[in-house]
Amino acid sequence: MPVDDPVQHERFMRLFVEHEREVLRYVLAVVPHLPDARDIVQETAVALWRKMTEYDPTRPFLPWACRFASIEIRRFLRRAEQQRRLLDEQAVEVLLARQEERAASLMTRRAYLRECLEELPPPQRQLVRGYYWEEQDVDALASQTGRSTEAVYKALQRIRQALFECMNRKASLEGAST
Amino acid sequence: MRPPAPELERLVAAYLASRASAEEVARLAERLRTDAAARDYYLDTAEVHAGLALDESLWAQPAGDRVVPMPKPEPFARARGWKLARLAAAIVACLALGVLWGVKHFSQVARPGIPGAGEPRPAIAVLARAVEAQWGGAASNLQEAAELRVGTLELLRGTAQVDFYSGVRLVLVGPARLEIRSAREAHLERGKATCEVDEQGRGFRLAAPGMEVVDLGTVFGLKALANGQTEVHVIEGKVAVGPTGGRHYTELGKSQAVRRVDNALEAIAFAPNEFPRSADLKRSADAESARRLLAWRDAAAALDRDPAVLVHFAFHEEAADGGGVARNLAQSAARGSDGMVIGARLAEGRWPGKRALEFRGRGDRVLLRVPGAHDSLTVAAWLRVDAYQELVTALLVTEESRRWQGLENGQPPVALAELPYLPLRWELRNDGQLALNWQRADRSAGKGWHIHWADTDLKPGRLGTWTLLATVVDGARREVVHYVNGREVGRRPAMIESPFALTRLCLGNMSSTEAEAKAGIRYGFFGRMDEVIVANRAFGAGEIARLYEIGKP
Repeated sequence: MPVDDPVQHERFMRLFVEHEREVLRYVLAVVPHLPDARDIVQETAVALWRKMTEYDPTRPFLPWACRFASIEIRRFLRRAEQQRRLLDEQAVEVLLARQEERAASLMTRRAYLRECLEELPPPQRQLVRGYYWEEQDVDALASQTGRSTEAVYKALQRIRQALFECMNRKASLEGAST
Repeated sequence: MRPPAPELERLVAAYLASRASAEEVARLAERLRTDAAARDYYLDTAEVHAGLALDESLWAQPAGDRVVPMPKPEPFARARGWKLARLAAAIVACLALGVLWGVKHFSQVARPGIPGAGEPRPAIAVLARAVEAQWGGAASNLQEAAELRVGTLELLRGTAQVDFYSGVRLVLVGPARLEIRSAREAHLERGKATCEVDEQGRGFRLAAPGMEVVDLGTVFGLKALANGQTEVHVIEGKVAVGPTGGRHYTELGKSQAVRRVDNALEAIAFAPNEFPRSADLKRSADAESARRLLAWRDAAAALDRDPAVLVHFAFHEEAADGGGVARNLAQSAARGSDGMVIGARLAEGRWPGKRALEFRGRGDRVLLRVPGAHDSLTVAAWLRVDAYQELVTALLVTEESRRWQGLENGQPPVALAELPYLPLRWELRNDGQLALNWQRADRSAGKGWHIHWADTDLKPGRLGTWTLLATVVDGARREVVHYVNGREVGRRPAMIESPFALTRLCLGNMSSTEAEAKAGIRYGFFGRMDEVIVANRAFGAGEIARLYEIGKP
């Protein structure tokens, strides 16, 4: 049943707004295309809203919301199955399970993303900026930089890898000094 | 992280860029299922991917002691912060509707203006007229009636008139670059401008490289040449001219002209004809409109001959006025497909001499019947949205019988001898999202609608200009493609369960159910429609682009 009580309704809104980005992050890990991930989160919002009366406020909201998100991810995968452009349910399941195990360490590393991004050489930073901030697709970036499409998405992957290593390094140094 | 095998790296790279083929996805899935190290490698980089995609503050620029987010480049501007009240209202209203699409409709609406302004600022001028104008820079899709804020206009070609709310009118001749600095000051970096100032606008300061002109109630022309020279020609009244930042001004009267050379002014031949006046621009604009109207008429007649066109309204006949009939111009029009106009009135359309139907929300609508079941559809409309009065505005909908028969829950609908159909809704949300949604055949799963949406630029602050909206359902490719002004803005897989029976169409509105009426929910369109096309064939991108080119005002 959806929430009828306006106070409870307001509380749901607050909780959801507070955690929406984290839910989106959870979904993006397996459905990397942002508009698709947003669709899934939207379906999750509706599902959560319908089940809000079942939520136990003494328990953390995010894991509860992520459970709903994982159901919506599976539904989305089933709908998209024909196009076979997304991982299958089994692979997603093992990934999500592993992601939950690693949640704490990911949180620690995340804080260093900005610093690591600033340390990137300018051409790499420009590429990442073009892709993520200006939302240019790989074809556009390829023609701008005179590279092949495959070279561009491989370059993006190497940058992600480098950023991850940098974040990891900074997180472990910080861990060692505290 | 140990370096991954090149194969894994390539697969993850392709997948995260949404570029992996079906075969590559299958190989990646296999690796992820069976190899723990591959899973960690994937998740490490997917985490960075998510961080880069979601954390807008990463792209912030320091500005003094504050951090100001960079304005996101158009047309992708999208503020992602959610507003609590809007989210609440949206969820309530959407669940009442049975339709909910697009998370982004909860997001804050971007303010319009000349791109480059970091934060919303008040509008200080309006683009009053543009003749054959082509804009460069971030404002390349600037249209007449756009409000302008502090920022730079780059006119590549054509002529444009900028009216300042302070009472100053500038006619800009391309190629030109004008920086609007405030309501009373602008800087012509290059090109030509005519400045017309009324009593209220006296004291307006128009600068060019090395020179400043203060208007003393007049008309004058200013020219900034590529070689750095600047010229002033006083056409009427008088101006004060001085060097940039200087204290001493020279007064110039009617028919005088000067050029700045080496920080000194020298008299030159007065050439008023080089500077078009706003009245000249109006004449050119009218002539251009007349040409466009004639060209559109020819193209419209050809469209009417297309057997796939089921409905074509152009609303240019007298009979379409409130309470009248809008004639379906399509030659293959079926009986009953003329539109019954309820409430809406005739008003001026895209061009002088062309009419449009004006809707003012409330009950205004056009009803028509279109028989047959169709595998593909194209819906297109030239419209001018004047305001959003509701969360959802119905553009063209098939109303479920419960809705149009005004039934309450539990009452059975009256059985009719017509094709059973699933309701379909072409709608616009109040943050500019365009959608074509249709009801699922099986509603038992609790999710009633197949949803296909796209973000558009029709944000609340950017309304009031003529726009071509078009949405194509391609039955063969099973996809829905949305277009704005001839350009694709979104493409979604279409969940087509059965051919589309349009049957009872309603243009510009949809009846509210009892519950919706009690909650104050209405769907009325508020603005003008100048042309509406419904076809049972998927128009290609080229055809949609031509509809725009031939129909643009």
